[in-house]
Amino acid sequence: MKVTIEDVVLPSDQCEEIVKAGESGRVILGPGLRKEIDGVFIVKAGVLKKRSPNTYWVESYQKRYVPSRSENVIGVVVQKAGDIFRVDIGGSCTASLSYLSFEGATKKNRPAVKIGDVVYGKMLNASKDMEPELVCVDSDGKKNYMGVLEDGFMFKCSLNLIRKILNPKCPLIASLKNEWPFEMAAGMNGRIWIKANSMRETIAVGNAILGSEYASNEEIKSMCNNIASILAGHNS
Amino acid sequence: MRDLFLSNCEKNFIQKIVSEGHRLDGRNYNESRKLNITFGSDYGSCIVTLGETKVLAQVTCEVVQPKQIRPNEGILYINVEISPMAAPQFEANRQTDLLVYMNRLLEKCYKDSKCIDLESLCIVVEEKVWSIRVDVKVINHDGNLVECASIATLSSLAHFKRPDITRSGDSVIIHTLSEKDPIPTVLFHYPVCSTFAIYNSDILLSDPNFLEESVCTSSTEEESNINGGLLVVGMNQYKEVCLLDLTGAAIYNTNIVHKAIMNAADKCKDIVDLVKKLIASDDNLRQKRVKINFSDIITTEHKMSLCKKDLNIKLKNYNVDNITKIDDSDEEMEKNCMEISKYDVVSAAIQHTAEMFSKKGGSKWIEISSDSDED
Repeated sequence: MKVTIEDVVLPSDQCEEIVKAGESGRVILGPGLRKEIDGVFIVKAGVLKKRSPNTYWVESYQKRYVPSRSENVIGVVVQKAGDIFRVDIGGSCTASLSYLSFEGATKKNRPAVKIGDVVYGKMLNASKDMEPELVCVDSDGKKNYMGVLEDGFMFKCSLNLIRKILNPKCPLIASLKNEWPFEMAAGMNGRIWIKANSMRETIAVGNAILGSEYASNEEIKSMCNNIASILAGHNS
Repeated sequence: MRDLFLSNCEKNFIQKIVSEGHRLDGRNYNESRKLNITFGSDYGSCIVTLGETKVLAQVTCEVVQPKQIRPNEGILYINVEISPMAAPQFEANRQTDLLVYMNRLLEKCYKDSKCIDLESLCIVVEEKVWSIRVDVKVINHDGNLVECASIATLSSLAHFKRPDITRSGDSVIIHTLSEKDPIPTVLFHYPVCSTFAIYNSDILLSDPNFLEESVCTSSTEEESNINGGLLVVGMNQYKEVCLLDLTGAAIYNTNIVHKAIMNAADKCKDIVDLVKKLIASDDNLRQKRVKINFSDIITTEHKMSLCKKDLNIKLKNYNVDNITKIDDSDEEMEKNCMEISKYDVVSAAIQHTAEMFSKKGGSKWIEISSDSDED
């Protein structure tokens, strides 16, 4: 079936608009699109999106993470193997994390990472045929908020929700941060780590994040207000 | 089966929150998730959802030769399947411990408790009996599979009707559904399993979700959690215990079993009443020739309600319906958003890519090397 931008699309649909745009210049195909000899095909169910001038992709609901380079992810250390840690990032296989890729780590000064710890890191390498590699330092050798996350709580959600709350236009974090203090780390692999002063406040943050998945901007704002009032009402 | 690995922070958080008297999704200790039973177009097929856990059960029957030791009894066979669709850690066509455990529990609960009148399934003694097979397929796994699967088994068995037969001399005629009305299975009593998670050897959580289940059976790094376990209580509507099963640690306190049984008794009665009521209304609808199938499950509201009302993480007093009520303060709130935050919250989730830093000229190593090149 022929489809246009902002349509709900299904696998095997074809988009001629992209082909036309491709004749006059370069086109970038994002997830869910594949180029074949006779046109551009859609391989995922979702909504076809375009970003000017030439980027196209399909936005679909997804829970399984496919590693991709330079994305920040949250993983759980599952194994210590010699000088690397194996980290479960929710992909098809575990990622490797060298003990040297922490801030200030040397061969003598090993970082204190235990099995079961939650780490926030960046994908250094994510090719299709190799084990993905994770680092907890930036190119300056600084930790830059990355590293082991202490205490708090980690939960899983859909990849769409992560993209939604990281979108600068999403009012969730802007309105939540006025209500009560908390820390949060969002991994592109569908995991969120949160920490607040008390258990109730931590749950409230999680509640607000999960509740915003299908809410509009106005609904998110009023939901944050609502949660804050529940929290305040119970505490006093 | 790949083991699902729990992080320490999840374990500690759940342990702490449960010992403080809360649960992650805002339920009370003895509160269950929402139960929903839907019947399919065939007799004996149903989908049961318990929160996010979803199980499909289908009953089929065939004529077989009876066992030598029980020549006048039919055969009941229960088969459980768990595919990677239920949760990513499962592998296809692989026997796992969980699968064997569930199969055994369901057999104990339905076969060994003799809830089905097997003698009524006999056609010709020593020659032909009905064999009833229950296929239980786990569609989504979010904890408490045993309870969900047992409700599915019970409701599909109670809903099932086998074709009528007539015997004339040596020959047996099996009538199709259009020729003669099918016969329902005879159930003496309706057993249902319910699961309790035991925390710190004195807290009972009914209907634990996946996280609560795995936290209470796993051990933390200090091995402090040897007091957790899962207790399965099978009971029928007359408050008779049919099954008792404990995994995890030993119980030092007999009160806890007593408490669980008291708790399960009320719950099982409610569930059985619901199953009976639904089957009666389903029968009524079928007699009026209303088309019934699983497509009734899929509604636009269903999608939204799943995502909005059954949040995994929820405050106790949180209610979705309240959200739209306080819209009048929207303008005020927008002003608030413009203000600088009261607290110094740094968003750690900003994408810092290597390219951004090289643009800023942050890395000194690169600069030095470029200098030396010029030299």
